[in-house]
Amino acid sequence: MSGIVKRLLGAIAVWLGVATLAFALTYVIPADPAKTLAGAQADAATVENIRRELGLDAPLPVQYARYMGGAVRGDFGTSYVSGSPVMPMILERLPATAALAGGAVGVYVLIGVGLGLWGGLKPRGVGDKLGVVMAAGGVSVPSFWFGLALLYLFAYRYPILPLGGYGSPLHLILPALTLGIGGAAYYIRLLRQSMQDVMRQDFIRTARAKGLPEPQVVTRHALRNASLPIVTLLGVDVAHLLGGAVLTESVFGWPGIGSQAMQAIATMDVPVIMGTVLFAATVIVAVNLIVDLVTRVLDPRVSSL
Amino acid sequence: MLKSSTHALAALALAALVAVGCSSPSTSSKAVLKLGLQDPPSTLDPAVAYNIPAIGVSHLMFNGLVTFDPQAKLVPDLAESWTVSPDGREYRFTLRDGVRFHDGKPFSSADVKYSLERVLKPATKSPGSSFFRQIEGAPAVIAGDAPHASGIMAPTPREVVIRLAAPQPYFLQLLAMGFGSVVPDGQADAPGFEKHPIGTGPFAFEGMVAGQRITLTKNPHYFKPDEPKLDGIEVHLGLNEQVETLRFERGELDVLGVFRNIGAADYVRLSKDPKWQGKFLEAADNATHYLGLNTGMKPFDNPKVREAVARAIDKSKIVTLLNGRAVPAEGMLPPSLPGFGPEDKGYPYSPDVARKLLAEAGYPNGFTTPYWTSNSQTVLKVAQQIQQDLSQVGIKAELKPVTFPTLLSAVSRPGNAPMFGGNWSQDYPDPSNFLPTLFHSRQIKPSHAINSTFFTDALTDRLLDQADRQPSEAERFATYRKAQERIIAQAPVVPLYHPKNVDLTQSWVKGYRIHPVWPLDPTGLTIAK
Repeated sequence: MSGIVKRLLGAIAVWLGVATLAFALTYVIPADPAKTLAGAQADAATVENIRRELGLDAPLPVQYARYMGGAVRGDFGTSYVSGSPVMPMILERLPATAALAGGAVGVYVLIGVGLGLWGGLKPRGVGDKLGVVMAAGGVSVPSFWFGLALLYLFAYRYPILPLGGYGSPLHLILPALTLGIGGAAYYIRLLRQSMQDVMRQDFIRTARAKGLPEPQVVTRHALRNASLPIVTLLGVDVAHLLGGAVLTESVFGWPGIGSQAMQAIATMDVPVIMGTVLFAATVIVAVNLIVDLVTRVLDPRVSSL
Repeated sequence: MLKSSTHALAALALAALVAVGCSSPSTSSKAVLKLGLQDPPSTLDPAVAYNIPAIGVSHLMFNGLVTFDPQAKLVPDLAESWTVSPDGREYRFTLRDGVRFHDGKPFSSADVKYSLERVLKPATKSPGSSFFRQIEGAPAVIAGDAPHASGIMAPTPREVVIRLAAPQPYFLQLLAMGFGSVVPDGQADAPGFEKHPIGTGPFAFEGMVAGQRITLTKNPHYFKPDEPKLDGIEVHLGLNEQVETLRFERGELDVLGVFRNIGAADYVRLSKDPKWQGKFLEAADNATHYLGLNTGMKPFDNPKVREAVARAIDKSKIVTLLNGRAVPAEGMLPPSLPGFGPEDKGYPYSPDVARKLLAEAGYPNGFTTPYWTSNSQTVLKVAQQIQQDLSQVGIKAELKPVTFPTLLSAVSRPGNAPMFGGNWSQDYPDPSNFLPTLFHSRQIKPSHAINSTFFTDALTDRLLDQADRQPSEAERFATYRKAQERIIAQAPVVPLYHPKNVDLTQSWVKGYRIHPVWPLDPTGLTIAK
């Protein structure tokens, strides 16, 4: 129990650290939001007025207190550019990013776990060789190129899928494949190795000796033990998915929080940038906490750590 | 048999799914113009819109008192006519009768007063406020000290009077900008106006599906006879450069290049494709890309060094690099800008003279300087070409590629960026938007300098001040040209090139033209499939 409390306190500390870092970063970036918003033509007085309206003329500790006070209540302020509150802007885009991340996890499971399992159970078989090729390809091909190649092939040259855009399950296929393929490569390699290790363990031999059918040996004994690193990796991968979503969303015009963040960076819309960073940090911290708890359930030895 | 039926059913289901996924939202019988864009415009509020997508889309829904015709000449819009007082300070507008906003509310002078004062108010955070600073009482409103500007009056519902603190011969050009758009009195301050705007323009806002499309529909009560000819406009969102081009090639979009340039690789490919021969439209953009030299920093405080830099750069190579979508710049005023004089000439490419000038200035072996530039792909490509040219005369320019907001902040501070890549696009088509803004010494403030070469020259200031007061357009333009001659000779900047707007249209698009000011001009535009 104390372990869980420790993890929880650690998660809060990480979140506060990220919030402070996100705030500090806006002062490191040598760009002035007021000047950007006012435009190249604006005179000094206009820039100063806009700075005052944005609250950027207040002393730094006051700005920090305002920002943190809002952040802990889930209020990330209002966009400098549109004047809209940031939190609803993020929530409006969240379903698209969630769908993309969910689709990518689907790719992990279908391709990563599928080929990993196949390769693990039948070393040097067709599945194993296919897995090795896909793992090497998935890791080495840049995702933006892969995305564009998929679009050209399956949406333009052979138009069986929509050419970019958003709105139906069919629109999801290519972006999810683009985002998921790189991650799936790691899952292939990890699960393949993990399964091969587990299948050589004594308890597998015992299970077989007891006369347990092979499918049960694999699902009840081998996969449960081999999946431990996979669950841990999935927790870490939330950050990878959110980071990768920025690029994938740009390639496919996917209207998620990643493409919104890119637009905000181009216009120095600081509240949207900071809001997105904090939102992503909250998700990553929460998922890692959940992964910790799930790991404890899967492997009781972890609870004693 | 069972197996083949299952396959047939699966194929049918897949075909149905594909059909649903690829279906177009609009009905084909309507003349709806389809355009592409990556991100939604940052705002649709004309008081705040200050980039091409935001101005381009919002302008379709609004009118100002005056506007620019396809030759960039001022013509009446919501104002039927106007008079200017002999002292050049008072503008009296008679408004059109019977105009209504998209929601049915009648348009009146109160809307004009509200709209202009809203741009001035600090709460609006409008980049347009500085353009209207000459209106009597405007500075107090801008500073937040007064709710109304005494110089904006609405004596009758069909009459607006604007009084300036001092004559400003190009005031009507300022009023014709998007910031002068008229919004309904009181309604624009309501939350969400920037997403659901209401204007008097040819198109009304119908809706935005997040991440998918913005739909504008024809305003059936538009005050201009027979306009618009289109039934609507759809802006398809989420299309990056390559996807937008592919969709255009598949006939799903009607025009390419409206809100952003056609990508370099796509342009080269499409321009060689016989299918698109003769369908490209080309027009000069009123913009100038230049190399800025900070005259307040060594070694660019020496005019000989600046002239050497100007003579070291081969502009024709840059134009080639841009696939011919640019013209070499002789001066800061673009060729299609009113007031441009073809006789204006800059320093010719002469690297031998450049080396001699550097030696005379005390730099026989050249020097090393940081070169700040935006990190956009095209700009960076040009910067690398300049870097190469400068190295031929011994100048080692070290590139500092940064984001545009960072560049903007960097060059507006004194003693920070000795050499930088600059780009000035018109806010309105007049030399007053180029020369006084970039080169008058009053534009240098410790906290923020628009004159980012920190060029201080008494003769230039005098000429620019003189032009500012000349009511005759011909005299004013002549004085601006004299000022430009002086500026080019002093070389605080090396004008590099003026970009061209190159758009591509489908054969069924009729009446499309590139407007010198507005990103999209729907006048006379229609679709005949």
